[in-house]
Amino acid sequence: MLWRNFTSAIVSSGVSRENDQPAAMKRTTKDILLTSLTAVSVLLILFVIVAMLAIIFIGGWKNLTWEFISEFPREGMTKGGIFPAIVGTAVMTLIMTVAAVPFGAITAIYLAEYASEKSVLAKTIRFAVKTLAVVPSIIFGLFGLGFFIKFIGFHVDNLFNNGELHWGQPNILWASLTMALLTLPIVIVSVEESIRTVPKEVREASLALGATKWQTIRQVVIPGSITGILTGTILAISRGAGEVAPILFTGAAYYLADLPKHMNDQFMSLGYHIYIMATQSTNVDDTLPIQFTTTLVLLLLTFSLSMVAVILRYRIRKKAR
Amino acid sequence: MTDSKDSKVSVRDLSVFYGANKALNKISMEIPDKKVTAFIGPSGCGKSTFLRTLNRMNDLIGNVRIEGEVNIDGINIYQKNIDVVNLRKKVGMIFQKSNPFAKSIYDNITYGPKINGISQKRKLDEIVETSLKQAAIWDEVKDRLNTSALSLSGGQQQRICIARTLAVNPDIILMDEPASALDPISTAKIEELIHELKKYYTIIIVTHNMQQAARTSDTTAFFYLGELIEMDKTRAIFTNPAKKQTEDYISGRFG
Amino acid sequence: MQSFFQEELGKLRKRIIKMFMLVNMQLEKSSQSILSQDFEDTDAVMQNENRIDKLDIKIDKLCQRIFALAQPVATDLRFIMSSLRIGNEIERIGDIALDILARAEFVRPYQEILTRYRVPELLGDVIRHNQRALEAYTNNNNELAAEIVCSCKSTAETCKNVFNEIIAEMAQKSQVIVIATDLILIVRDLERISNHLENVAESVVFIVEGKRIRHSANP
Repeated sequence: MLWRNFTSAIVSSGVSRENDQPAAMKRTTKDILLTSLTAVSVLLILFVIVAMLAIIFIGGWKNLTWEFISEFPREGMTKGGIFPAIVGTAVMTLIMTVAAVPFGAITAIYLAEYASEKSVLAKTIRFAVKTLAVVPSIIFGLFGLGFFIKFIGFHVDNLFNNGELHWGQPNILWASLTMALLTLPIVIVSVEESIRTVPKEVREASLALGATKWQTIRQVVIPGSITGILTGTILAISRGAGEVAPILFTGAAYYLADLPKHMNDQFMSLGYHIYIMATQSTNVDDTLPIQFTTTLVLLLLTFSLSMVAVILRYRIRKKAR
Repeated sequence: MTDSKDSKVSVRDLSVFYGANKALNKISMEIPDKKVTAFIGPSGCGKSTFLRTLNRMNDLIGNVRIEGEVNIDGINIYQKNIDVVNLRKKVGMIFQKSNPFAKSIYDNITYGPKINGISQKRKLDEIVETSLKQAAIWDEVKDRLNTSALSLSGGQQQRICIARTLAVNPDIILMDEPASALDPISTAKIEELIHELKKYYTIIIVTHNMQQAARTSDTTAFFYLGELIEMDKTRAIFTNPAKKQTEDYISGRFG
Repeated sequence: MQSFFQEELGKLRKRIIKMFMLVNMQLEKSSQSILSQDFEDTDAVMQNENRIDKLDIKIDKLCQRIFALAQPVATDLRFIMSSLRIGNEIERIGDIALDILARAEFVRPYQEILTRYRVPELLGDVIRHNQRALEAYTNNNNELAAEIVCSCKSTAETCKNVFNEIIAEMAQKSQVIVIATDLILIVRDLERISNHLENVAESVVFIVEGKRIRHSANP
């Protein structure tokens, strides 16, 4: 009986091996095909990225001087630098961060820690965040124009300034807030994700030591997810720094002789500067090198923000080990 | 079984429901003071759930309903005016997976004392030293108190977690399979430690490992399908259990 | 084994040693009762017997507890297994010593016959073997234990010879039959004690070396 089982096992295994052979061959051909396909697409993407960077770098490198960075544009923007655009972008980014990060972080903490699975409010917020994240940026621009300038600004002027135009016009505050709205969903999602990476056991450990929920969040959950929070936030900021559409109607200016001094001044921005030089310039030959260099500066700025995120993450991780 | 006058924890008709599911059915038991009590039973028998009712960790999960009484030192911890935060200071807990905070060893130990309002450096230093010594890990870490607790081995991390719990000076220590993720040597160290700690603390340990219950505990309770089947002196349970189900489980003849 | 079980092992060792000493006392008393005319110490003997029985039960329970709770392995396992066996063997020796004591008064008047059949010598041998077995157990001395196995064998052999000699004399002189019967039984008891002590010594070898030398031709 045993012996028969044994021999039949040998026979059947022999048969199945013969049957398997063509299938196995087919499988390896498929594997090779898929591997080469993925390799090709990776190379293609790499090529595009390298080409793009190379073109911008080669085109913009020559003009990247201290004067270019520290001077105002001159002679219809065919000469001089982009100083006000850099300052404008920096100030706008700062205000945007101050507005978006605290709100975003608090919302994320609520969603991750306090809201129960079944809470209708939490579900609504999540739905809103998801929707906001897919809204095209130009819509944010239009919303900023309608809500901040035409509604809030107009009423503020009516109430406090006797209808004199101070806040009812495009300015750096409204532009920054509009931009904050755009980055808010990114901040919320990334902060919530990183808070959720803190293991349940660690929270329980804190609670089991007699900590309150808030003590646990402040002293264990947030420090434990600070890397994720910071990188998420920085990535959101760098996204905002490069956007143009939301500030198109809400505060960016074509050319200003002065830096913005008040919240209700307009400002110049790198992205917008590239846009207008590419579309509105009368002298394309003279502005082309400036465009290249401005693009390079914008790229360097966003890259360095990403680098800061990477370095921060590395540093904190190393410290945690 | 112990008399109620020697018992630290006295449970009366405790039932726990997850939604419509009854996880524990009318459990009553007396847990003796300054002794090791082990809960054994197959997965899903309710032993961990029961452990977590003793410091109200189940409160954290929504949808849990609890009936009956859990009296610690004669006070029902499910009374309305009980401060859960204070309860948890008195009833510490060690978890299955070692879970030190991503902080230095020193900060891990001082976490509990600090949230209890102790801030003098000298006092904190003292607590760190005594807790680490009690947890039998002082010699291994005294020269690197400021390195991250996550840099230690699994067994060391678990002892750091025990030290962290000792630092808030609890009466009772709950251990939820404290050695199930550790190698035999680390497990032996933890068991040795349990044996030392029972001089000062009432220890309640949940374990899948019957031999561990046999080695470490004075009293053993066997749970099955949400019921307390049998509870007795460990030596009696392991040499002459009264119930057939207990016998089948401890001799590996289950199911 | 974890240190908190080392205590239990120590307890086991202490109890076995205690039992050895009690049994030794019993052997000495039974020897005295045969060899000296004025033996009156029966109460102490009965007390010892009680203590041995109690110890036997205690050792049994202790071993059961260690087996159930500590899952002993290797040397610890051999030590507990052997201690359990040694306990049984010397408890039997205690019983046999009582048996000898019970026959003592019948043979006591015939000292010169006893001497002729080497009974005092055999009694001394058995007591010495018992003491040396205790020493071997206490010090985990496997060499000594192996020696004891040999000397127990030769004592048992001597007992057999004496036994045959007595039978031979009984066949010739019918008037000795009454005393000879008791004598035969005493010699048979001494042979059994030697056999038990041989087992004890073999168990000590098993503790130290892990080898089972019983039932083997050359230890």
